[in-house]
Amino acid sequence: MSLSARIPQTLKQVRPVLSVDHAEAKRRVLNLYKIWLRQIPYIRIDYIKNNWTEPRLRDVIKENFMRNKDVTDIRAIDLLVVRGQMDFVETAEIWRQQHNAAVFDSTKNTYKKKPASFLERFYEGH
Amino acid sequence: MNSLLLKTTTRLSRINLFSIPQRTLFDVQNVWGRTAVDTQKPIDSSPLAEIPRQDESVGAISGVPREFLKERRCRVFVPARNAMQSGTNNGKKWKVEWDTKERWENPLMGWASSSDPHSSVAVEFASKEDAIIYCERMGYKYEVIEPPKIQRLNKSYGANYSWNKKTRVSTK
Amino acid sequence: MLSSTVRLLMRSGSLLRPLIITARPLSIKPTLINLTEKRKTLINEIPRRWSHVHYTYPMIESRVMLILRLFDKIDSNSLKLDSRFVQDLGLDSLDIVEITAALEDEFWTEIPDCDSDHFATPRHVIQYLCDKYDVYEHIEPISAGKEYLEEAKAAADRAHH
Repeated sequence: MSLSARIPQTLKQVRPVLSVDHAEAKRRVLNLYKIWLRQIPYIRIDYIKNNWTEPRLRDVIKENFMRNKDVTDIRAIDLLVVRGQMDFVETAEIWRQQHNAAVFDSTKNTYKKKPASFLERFYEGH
Repeated sequence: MNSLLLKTTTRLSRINLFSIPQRTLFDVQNVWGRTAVDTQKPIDSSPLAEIPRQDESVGAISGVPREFLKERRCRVFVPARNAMQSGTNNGKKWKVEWDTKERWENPLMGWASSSDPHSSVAVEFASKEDAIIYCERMGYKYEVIEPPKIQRLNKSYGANYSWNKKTRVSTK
Repeated sequence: MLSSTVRLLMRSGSLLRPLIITARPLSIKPTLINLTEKRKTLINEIPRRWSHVHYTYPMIESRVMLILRLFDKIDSNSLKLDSRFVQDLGLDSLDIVEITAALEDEFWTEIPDCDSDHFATPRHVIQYLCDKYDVYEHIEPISAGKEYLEEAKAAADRAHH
């Protein structure tokens, strides 16, 4: 059920957070992606005790960006870009600690998966 | 009355910088040394943007975990009147509640444990449209349950004596 | 002798890049050094890393295509000069940013975002770099005079007949 089914498409006038249209928001997103890419070799050096390779870090960053690809509200995109930039500053200034840097590990669950089918849930006890 | 002249400094900038109204000699100061200018909001003369109304989304930036936004469902409903009491004010608001998840007995104290942060969360709204806008903006899947129409019998004193023998009262 | 000429060159204020001694040649403008005849000959014999790089179209094209072929998400078999990144090769804007970063690394230059927005095919990229390095040997010269003369002649013929 979506609002578009109930209300005909109307435009709403909003006060923009940073960018005025999608083109500008896209520019901000791509700029952020570029600076994250440029920071990858330093992430490998700054945060010790990791087995990250550059392709893997690139995949992680790409995945983080693609997670929000369906957001269409310009203000939400701007706020996400601002959050990404804040994360970047924290990473570049090495304000993260070791547990925080684990965000660069694979985002896929590496431990036990949640039971999906009926039988799996039955075996779990639910 | 002194006219409050608002001297504004509009700076041309690509980023939306608010222009802060500045004090002039003619601004009236109150006893705490403040003028009306100080308490006004900064003038935001940035151009407005236009977005389609259904694109408004808050879920991605709200901090709610992504799985919750995708997997959980809400109910939008009017809560029922408490049957043990006759107050009806509960029936004038709309509530949004989430689907129930498992609760089990806590081994330590026997209390009801749950792993669901939304287990006892209910958001109240004044109208159905407000509740729906909330669900839409956050990105939850929702279903609306319309309140049942309450049939009220309109009783009158004359019915005790009416021609219709059913509503007559024998003692009158 | 070599070290003193190197020091003289370093003191000149016309270096375009920070001095990183690598195998890559840097471009340095001729300087304000007061040279004797002897010193001039020495500068001509200075190894290539101080010499001006001669960018040619085949060199730029081969380097760009190499970078693109090395990219994981591009299928080297279907990569042509005119294959569009988004429609034909199936990349998205983030991949194009990655490609731009790789090109920046390869050519030791900066490509601003406003320019990389317009990269649609490898040909556009190569043309952009050619414009950057003033390479125009692959462009057919426009002989404006010839066409104009032909049109003028045709118009004159029409007027007279």
